[in-house]
Amino acid sequence: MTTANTRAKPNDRYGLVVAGFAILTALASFLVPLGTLSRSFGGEGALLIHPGRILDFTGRLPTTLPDFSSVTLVAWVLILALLTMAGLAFTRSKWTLVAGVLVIVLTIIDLALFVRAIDLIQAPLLAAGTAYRRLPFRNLGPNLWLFLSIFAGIAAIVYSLAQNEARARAFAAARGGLVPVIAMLLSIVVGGVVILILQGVPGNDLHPDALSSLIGKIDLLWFSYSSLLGPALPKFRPSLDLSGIWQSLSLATPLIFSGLGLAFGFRTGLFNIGAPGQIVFGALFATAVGVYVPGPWIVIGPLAVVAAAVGGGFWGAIPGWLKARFGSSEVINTIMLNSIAAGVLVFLIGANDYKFFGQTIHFPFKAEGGEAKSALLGEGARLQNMVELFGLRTGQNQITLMLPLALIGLALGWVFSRGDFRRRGLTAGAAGIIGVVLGLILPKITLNISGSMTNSGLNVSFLVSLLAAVFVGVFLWRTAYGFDMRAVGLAPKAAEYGGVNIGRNTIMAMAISGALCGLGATHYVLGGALTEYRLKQSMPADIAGFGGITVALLGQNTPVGVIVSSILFGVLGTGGLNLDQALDKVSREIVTVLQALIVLFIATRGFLPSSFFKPAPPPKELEPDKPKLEKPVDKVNA
Amino acid sequence: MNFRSPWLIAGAVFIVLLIALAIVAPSSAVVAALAVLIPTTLRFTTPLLFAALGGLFSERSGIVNIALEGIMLFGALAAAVVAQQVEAPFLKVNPNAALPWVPWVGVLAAMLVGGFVAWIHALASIKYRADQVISGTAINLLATGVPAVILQYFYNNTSDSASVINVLPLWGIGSVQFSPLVYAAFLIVPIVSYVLYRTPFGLRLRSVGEAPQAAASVGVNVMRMRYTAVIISGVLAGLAGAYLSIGNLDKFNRGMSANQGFIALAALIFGKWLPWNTMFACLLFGFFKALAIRLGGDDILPSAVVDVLPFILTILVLAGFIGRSRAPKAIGRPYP
Repeated sequence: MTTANTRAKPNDRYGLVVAGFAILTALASFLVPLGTLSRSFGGEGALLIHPGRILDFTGRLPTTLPDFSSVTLVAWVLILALLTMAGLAFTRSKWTLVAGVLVIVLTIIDLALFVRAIDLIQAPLLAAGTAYRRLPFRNLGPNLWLFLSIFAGIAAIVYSLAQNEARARAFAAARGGLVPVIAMLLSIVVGGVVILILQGVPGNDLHPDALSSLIGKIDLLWFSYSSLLGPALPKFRPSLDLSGIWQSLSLATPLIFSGLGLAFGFRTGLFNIGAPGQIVFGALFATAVGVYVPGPWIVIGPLAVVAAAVGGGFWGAIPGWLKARFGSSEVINTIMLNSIAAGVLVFLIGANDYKFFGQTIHFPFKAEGGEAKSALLGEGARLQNMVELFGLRTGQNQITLMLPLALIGLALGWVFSRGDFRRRGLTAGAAGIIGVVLGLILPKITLNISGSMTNSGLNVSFLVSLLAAVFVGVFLWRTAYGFDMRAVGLAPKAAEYGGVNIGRNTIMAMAISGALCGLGATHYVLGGALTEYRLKQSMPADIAGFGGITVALLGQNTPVGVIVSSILFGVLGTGGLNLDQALDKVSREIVTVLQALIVLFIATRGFLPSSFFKPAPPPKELEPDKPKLEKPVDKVNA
Repeated sequence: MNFRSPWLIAGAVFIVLLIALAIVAPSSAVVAALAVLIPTTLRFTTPLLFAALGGLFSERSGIVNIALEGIMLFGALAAAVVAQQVEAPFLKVNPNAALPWVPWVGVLAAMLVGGFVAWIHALASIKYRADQVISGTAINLLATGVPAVILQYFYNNTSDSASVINVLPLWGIGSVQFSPLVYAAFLIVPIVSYVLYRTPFGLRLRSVGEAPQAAASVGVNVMRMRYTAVIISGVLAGLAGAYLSIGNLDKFNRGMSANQGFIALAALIFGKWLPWNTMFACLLFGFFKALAIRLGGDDILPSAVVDVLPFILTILVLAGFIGRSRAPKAIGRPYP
């Protein structure tokens, strides 16, 4: 239908929300800290609040404080800009876009001024030979207010862009993608309330008055979430250090596998809660090949990876078969199979001698020692650590930027090109080559490989997980089999009528889903992420397996979504350790709670009204009939 | 006579297992073994029965309650932490104080928390029309994280609570001593049966699970019936949890539900969503678990093997009998 002559009316509510958020941000400047000057180990912060006020919970600030007058000045301008932007958004002015960009630019300038003010104190000390560790204000950082103002700016820009009719329709079409975002925001809010209930403000005794306590609480929230997300960021001083992101990617790898498995299940109408069991069976099969089949790595390496998939696929096919043959729910069966798999694991590597009806039988699978573990894998079956793969050594390394630039080029080329598969592929390849050339031209940089980076356990299985994501994408959306399976997931009756064998498809889908989950074992066993190249009972199959549920739902059951949300949870897992250490009353299991809340909020579709998901009604003059009552969609993201 | 009835099958399996036991062990040992087996069976059956009856309410009203497992854990946590926190100040004053009311406060807390958590599930799946299995799974995931956070706050570790001194008493005559909750679990079976089949409430409950539109057309408030049913199921699952933490043990630990919530669901399906049949199904599972532990203790089977037997039984039961049991018609479907 053509609606070119009817100008799309932007919903007034959104303008109000954007304006209200901007005004709140402007007002909040007097309560929400702008920057953190310093942070003690227990989470106590020395905070800068807008009109140049410093609130010190650490009690350890040096006497010479930085001069923040320029920061305050720009902050005043920023507040003015926010208020102007609110007015513009409220009147739906075209200039909202400009104001939004201005707010973001001003925020970045303010942050830069903040860092510079502290740098002015640090630089002379550093020049005088003070060790980096002994510098004052070493743990400086931005605080919540700057981020609020950036969000306000982004909101205004998005709102302003959505004034254009075509873009408004594009945004409206993508509004389903809002659910995971809202679910995450809601769970952050609930998690924040939980943190505030559990944990008092660190260092509150120094400033027990009500206002300081309130500011302290706001900072506690900021500190909690920034320490959940922060450790994954690269550190640039004293030299580039990527151990946080490596640790995060290492935690993300098994999540990617199980998330892909779960997403595959959801797409085919199956809820596979059996990922933990499938990981265990993948691990058992992979270990069997790795330990007991000798051979060169070129044969045994791929064979062991395939064995992991076969193991997981076998364990996944059982509930698939039970469902197809007897109609029993895969949900309860997979849960039972998880427990059985855990029992099998304990049986095989927990002890060597078992008594059956009084007779002792010897099993050779457990290795010597107190811990329940298998024998070491043969050299051929081991997947290399990524640090070794890149030929890096612990300590300072000179590296070129060739690889990251090539990858960025590939990604950009793919995303920003139009046309068919081949054309986009060629563009991406060309952009990748430009990246390589750039990497050769640009000077080398110093990368610090710390012990924690080598020990993070990130290995080649991460690359395998990316391949698996490509497989899922291609299989489900580019092959006839995948089409059949998705058809069964969307409408089993219709698919059956269309000639699809539902039973066979169910078994196949569960087997593939299980195989994807089972591949997660490559990370733990073949990749040596359990600190040694062997299977151990301590393998966290439950965490990886159940995490896959959240990851799949958060990623909207798409391969890219699964990868992104897995990395997010890898980051949170890495940060959880830091939070655990800093705050005595908050456990890192708060991350598990956040995961569960995200699942709950996605299941309830972010508490958005169902009218939100209905397609926009056609323009009045084109309206054909009375709109019929729609049958609600009751599958999440299916 | 219906030879497919789980009653008969349960009884037959029971007898076959007893005969097997009699063949394996000498006859005097069988008597001794039974003296241990029967009370153990009743003890293992109790949490299953509470949870399964809870599931019965929820599922008969049309809401799949896979969250039973998580609600049990929440109940267990609430019972242990509340009882421990309530008794602590009294014990500080007098370490030997007898506080018989403390465990009942814990039981009450478990019921309240169970009802509250079930209300979350109800809210998500009734008002917000969430996929009931996913919403239930979210509750189960919450039950893996929240206890750790709460234990960290109170006890500075993430795996188990401090011991509760005043746990539930044992009632009984002579050597037959059970926790009051054991009696309660079996006593509520006739009550549930009566409520479900002899009261207007029960009729309405069943009707909203079978044909919500028809029920609504004669004036039944479908939403309210479903909320009530799910909350009742949470209260019962909370009781199951209370039994686990302060009835059977004296503390909470994170793995204590051990998939019993799911086994209870299987028992419910095995029992064809009928109260008495569900009780027999629970008894079968309880007996099997007791037997398995007995076999493990005598070096007959390794404990790693024995531990998984109930789970294998669950799968077999679901595969073998579900075909003939008929679920409430409207189960899993949001209304309206």
